[in-house]
Amino acid sequence: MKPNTRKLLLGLGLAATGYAAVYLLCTAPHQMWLRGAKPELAWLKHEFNLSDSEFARISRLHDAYKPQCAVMCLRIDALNASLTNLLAPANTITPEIEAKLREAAEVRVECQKAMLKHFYEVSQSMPPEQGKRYLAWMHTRTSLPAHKMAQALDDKSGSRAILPTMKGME
Amino acid sequence: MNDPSKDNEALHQILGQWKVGAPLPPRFQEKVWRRIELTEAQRKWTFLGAFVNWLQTTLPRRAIAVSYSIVFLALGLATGFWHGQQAASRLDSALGLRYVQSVDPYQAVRPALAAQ
Repeated sequence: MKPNTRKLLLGLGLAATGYAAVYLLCTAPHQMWLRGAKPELAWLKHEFNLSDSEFARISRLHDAYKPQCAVMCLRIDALNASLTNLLAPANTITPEIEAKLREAAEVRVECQKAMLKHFYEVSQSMPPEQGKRYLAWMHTRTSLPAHKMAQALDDKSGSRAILPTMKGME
Repeated sequence: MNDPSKDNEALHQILGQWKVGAPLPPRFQEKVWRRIELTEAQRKWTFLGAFVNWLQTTLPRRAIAVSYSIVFLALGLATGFWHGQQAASRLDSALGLRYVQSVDPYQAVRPALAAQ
């Protein structure tokens, strides 16, 4: 091998080594969380700067809420399935469809109440500033009606200034 | 063992006696020059060729070789940092979404749907 070729390869090797080292360093925490049992909670701990005791408390709340969430999922799925069956042959709103829609709305209210209760409990387990940030973040990302209405208003008026967004907080 | 210098002498003598009887093809010299010109015209300028040429002339100098290595290392580090930040940001968003899906039944990933 010519000395110049060797030097060229050495340069490329140095570049590749530098690239890999920095890339791995930047993504190392995420890779570590992904290897864990609950990556989403590890992310939450990092995102909201939680201490170990706060994280332990929030993990317990999360574990207690999960079965409730699973039950709600089953109810939503069952309602959606029966509503789909009712809607397939219909060309007008029958009393059965109306009743099912009412039931779906009730389930939605129940889900939202349970969700909000959980979010408040979690936010109260965080330092006050982080708790506020968490609530604002969850309001913009979950299926809470306030957010959807705010988003619709926002889209209509084209104004973002009146709406509480995460931009200032991130 | 054979003496190579004696062999060479004998070979030289034989080659000296050798006479080419066959005539050259018509316009032989002109054709040779044309092929040389064509080859030179085909050797186009390329970035890689110019870079390799530059390397061959400059790399023997130690200072340039060191600078070259530092530039390559810096390029690798900068690209790695940039890509690493992008990947970290993507993973952050994905994990945030995963958290939302774990607490919002209307966004939860259903096992039946996920398997499809």
